[in-house]
Amino acid sequence: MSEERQGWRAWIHSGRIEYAGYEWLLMRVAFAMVAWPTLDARHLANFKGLSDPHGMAQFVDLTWMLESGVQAGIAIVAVLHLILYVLNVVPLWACTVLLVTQSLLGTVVNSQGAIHHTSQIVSFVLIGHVVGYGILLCKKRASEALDWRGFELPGRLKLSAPAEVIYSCQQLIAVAYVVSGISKLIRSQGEWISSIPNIVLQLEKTRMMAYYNSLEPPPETAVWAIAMITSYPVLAKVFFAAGLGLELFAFVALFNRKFMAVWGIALIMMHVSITQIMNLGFFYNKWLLAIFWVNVPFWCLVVANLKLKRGAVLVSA
Amino acid sequence: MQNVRNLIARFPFKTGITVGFLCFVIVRHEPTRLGLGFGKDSVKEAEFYPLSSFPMYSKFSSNPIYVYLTDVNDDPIACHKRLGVLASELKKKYDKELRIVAKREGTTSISKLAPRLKAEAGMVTLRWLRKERATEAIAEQNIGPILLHEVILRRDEGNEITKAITLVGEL
Repeated sequence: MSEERQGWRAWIHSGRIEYAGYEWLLMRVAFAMVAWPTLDARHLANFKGLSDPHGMAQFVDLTWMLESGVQAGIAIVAVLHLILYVLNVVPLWACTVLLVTQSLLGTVVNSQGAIHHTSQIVSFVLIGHVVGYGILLCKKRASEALDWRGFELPGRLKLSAPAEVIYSCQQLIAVAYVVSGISKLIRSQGEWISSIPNIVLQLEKTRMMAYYNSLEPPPETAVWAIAMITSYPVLAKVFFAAGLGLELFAFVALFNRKFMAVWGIALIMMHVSITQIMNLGFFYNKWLLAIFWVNVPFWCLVVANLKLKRGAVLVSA
Repeated sequence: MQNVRNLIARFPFKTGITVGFLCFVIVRHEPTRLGLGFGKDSVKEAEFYPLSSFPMYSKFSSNPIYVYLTDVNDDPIACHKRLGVLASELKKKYDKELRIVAKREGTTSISKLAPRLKAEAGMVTLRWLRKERATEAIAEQNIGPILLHEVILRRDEGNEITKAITLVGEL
């Protein structure tokens, strides 16, 4: 993206975003660290069977994944492919293996009688990787998707990264939010905002469920939120309408780096407030937004460069 | 004009819309069924890991349910701390069983089901807890009979939250 434009034009200017090698490397390292808990098959040790087969488990028997030896094997495969992914070695193969592994693990977890969505955004980002590298194959840039010698040497960090792959991951994050927003409109028949006063019942429900998890006192912020929503229902509707807007129009953030950073921070703040009020973590959402949308290292460098330029102007003056 | 073209080029036409559409596809086995979850009742069915319609908190019920466990002395059991099962997971399982019973009985209102029908769903949930989900934890701690309680939350005319508690199973 042309970053030379100044003033308001710089904010609305859109176009292909070019990423430096160092940004892509930091994204991969951070993503591997965040995604690891979802790929660690040892968390299946608590399960005895697949009481309610979900997704692929409806068609293929996945009970073999519950054997402890198998779980250790899957964990080793995941670690090896995370290392390949970070080193950028045969990235299409590495990401495909990680996606299949993560999907199988998620399927087993969701086959226990209750559907969880906690780590689903990690799968979405993995789909983004596979699609992105697939696009590179279609563009006859197979070496970038399948290269055995793709690991970054210090000199290569200054080169550009595969923008198609990064953009594909960013798109998939947007998809998760837009789909969630559309589901809210469909299921509530367009009355999601007007039913906001009932959210106090949900808050009380999650507060009490948090209590029955551990029998420790639940967070008091939920009590405060219940009182606020009951006292100021219109204000609550405006607040939640803003959240719905952030979800439904999340694709707007894809237009340029600035939009993505601002939108990403807004979504992270939305998740932080939900965590405070409803005790729902959104660990993966917060981190993936910070990694792929906000892209913290890039903005740190921009700020550092600005300070350097100002320093140079002051010295020359 | 170039700006408009750039904006359109950045719109996620291909990957975004394709995956977004797939998120609403319903895939069911026995009987094999392929459909679209764009209806208010079907959107929740569009779940096929890794794809999902993300229907959580898509509707704020006026009478939501949660459940909790107690022992025979009516002392609450910390379901996650002691059994490794989240209260939300327990609630989802009970809710699912309630919906199966409600469908069989030809009704959609699960909160108005007769106590004996709720007890049927409650017993299935407790059997699942004892025989599949927390078998080892229950055996290790030598936990005796477990009671499952359902709580229905409502708002009264003064906007105060009321709770209707029902015992729905003991195993």
